[in-house]
Amino acid sequence: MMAVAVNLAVKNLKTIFRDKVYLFFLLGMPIFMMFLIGLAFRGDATAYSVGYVNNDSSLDSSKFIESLDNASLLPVPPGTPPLEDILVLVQFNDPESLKDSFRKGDIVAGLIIDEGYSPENASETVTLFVDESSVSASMTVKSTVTVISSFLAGSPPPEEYWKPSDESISVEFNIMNFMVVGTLTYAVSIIIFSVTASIAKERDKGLFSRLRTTPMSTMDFLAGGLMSQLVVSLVQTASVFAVSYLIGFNPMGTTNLDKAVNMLAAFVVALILAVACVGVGLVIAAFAKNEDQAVGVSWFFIIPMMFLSGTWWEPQDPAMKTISWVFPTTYANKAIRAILARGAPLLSVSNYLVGLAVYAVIAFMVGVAIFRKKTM
Amino acid sequence: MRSLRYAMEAVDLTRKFGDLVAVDHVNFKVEEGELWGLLGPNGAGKTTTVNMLCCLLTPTDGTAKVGGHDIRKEAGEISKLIGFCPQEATVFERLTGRENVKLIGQMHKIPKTELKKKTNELLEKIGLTERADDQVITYSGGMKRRLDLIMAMVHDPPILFLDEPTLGLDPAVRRAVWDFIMELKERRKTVVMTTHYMEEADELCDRVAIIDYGKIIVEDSPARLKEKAGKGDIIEMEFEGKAEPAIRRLRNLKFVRTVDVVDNRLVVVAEAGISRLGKIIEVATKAGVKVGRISYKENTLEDVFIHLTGRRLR
Repeated sequence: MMAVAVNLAVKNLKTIFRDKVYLFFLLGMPIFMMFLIGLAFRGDATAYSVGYVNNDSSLDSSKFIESLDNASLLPVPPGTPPLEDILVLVQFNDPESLKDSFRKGDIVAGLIIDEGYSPENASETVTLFVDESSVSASMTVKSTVTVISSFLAGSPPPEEYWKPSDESISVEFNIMNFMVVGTLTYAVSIIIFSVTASIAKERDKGLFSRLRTTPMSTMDFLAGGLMSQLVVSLVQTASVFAVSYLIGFNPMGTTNLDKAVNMLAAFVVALILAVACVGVGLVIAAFAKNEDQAVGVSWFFIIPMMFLSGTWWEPQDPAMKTISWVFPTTYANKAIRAILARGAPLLSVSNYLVGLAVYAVIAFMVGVAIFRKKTM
Repeated sequence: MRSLRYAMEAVDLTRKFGDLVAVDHVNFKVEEGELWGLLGPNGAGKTTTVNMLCCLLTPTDGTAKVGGHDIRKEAGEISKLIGFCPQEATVFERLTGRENVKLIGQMHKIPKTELKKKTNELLEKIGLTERADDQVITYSGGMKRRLDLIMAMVHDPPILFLDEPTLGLDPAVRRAVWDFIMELKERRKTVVMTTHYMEEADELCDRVAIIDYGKIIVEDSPARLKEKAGKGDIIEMEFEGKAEPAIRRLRNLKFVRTVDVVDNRLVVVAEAGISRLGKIIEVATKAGVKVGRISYKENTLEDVFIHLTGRRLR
């Protein structure tokens, strides 16, 4: 059985890698997306424009504005990292023009300083509004304003912003790491499309019937398909990682060996995800009447999966969070992010791994059973 | 394969698709080494019959044996004995010609060295050696069809199913395919061939079964079928006027075998009809028919079909 399945897998791989359009969907698009993500999020520091209206004429308010604009000049307690010049202050003459600019998106935050400001009563005299749709901007502006206000008031700043970080348990928010993992699981999940399209195409063109008149068994056919898709997912994962490295992705790990082990663990999760996706693909292929329908239905599954399983963003609604567990990428995103973005060992994400593995086994078995019933 | 008189036997073989009866209780036997043709118009049930014999479709009723094995229970055994060439060129377009042939050989677990030799031989035979390492997507329709044929025989099966092997081919390629099939016949392969080209069935088949609306309406050698339809020449006449009186009077002539109206033409089968054409036209004209263009030919299997069904094959 093995030799026949391997021959079929080789046939599938030749078919995939010789078809440029197919290859673009499976490899080119994820790599291109990764490259664009790199361009969009690269750079060491990002500056956020913050508008302000200063209704107070005291020196204190001027110093507050100056400190926000040049945070790196502020002396910090020994042993703590210096503040970054991350805010660019833009003056407005009245609150209305400030709000107009905020609504247009020219600035990500606005500060209105009332008359009578002093560092001690900042919480009562300073109004801050931020663009909550940008997670990184909102976090950065809020934390910087809070820290500098505390510093000027001579009170200890909130601990979370000043405690020296421990590299090994750093959970610093990193948009690049987040997006790399999303792109990786997206790339692997396209296998659903690949499986449904290739099976439906072979069925439509009579190729599957032709093979069925040979001593090839159903299990040979399915094993050959699984093997080839696993190879594709390995190539996809390696390609996405290679490109992400080039554009600045740096997985967590204290040593290079740690990082390599974490990458290997991510490969394992990607492979299990690939098996689950093959199973889902088989189910869709079995029900689809032709290639067009198979392709349409596969994207009908892939797109909601991308939107709800935390591939590009985490779902906020509790109901959606619950629903997201029906998608295999939910388990994979959580597991791979824990490994690559937080340095978690493979065993510590065993709950997600077990969930994904069970999903993969069930999806594959159901896929095989339905495929055999519908097509043999 | 066990030594059998019949390579194939169908008993009440039936297949329904919903309310449509595609194949309706057909019975036939095909002898070993025989080239057996299934002739009929599109939609008559030829491909459905072949698909059941190749175990691609399960019969709704009845059964058949191929190489002594039941199609309902022994698909695995049958797959080792048969070669199948589907109706349309069914090849993996992103593989090369050589890879396509090898793939089918690999499915039949032919040893590597033997497969390589066999593949080269077959590619040479159909004139594809020079293009053997090009992807099939670059092949013409005729090249794909020839490749399709050798894919069915790379494992040298004793039984071959050829479903419309020359459909859509130009005359030169069709002739090449015919030669190929004749060679199979010489090698005593059992071949089941479907076609709706009467001249193809006439030229190649030892026996022909004519199928219409899922039923086999007649089965015999082409020569005997033509004889049954009526010896003689076929004269077709375009006409104007009422046909019935002319038909009656023409049937009264001793040398006339049959008279029918097909596609608004009077079709007369008559012994030595061409030399008696003047008499036939005279009788028809006297019966009130205005005769137009006339054509004549020898009896064919299509005439057998017309004789049996009153319709043309195509």
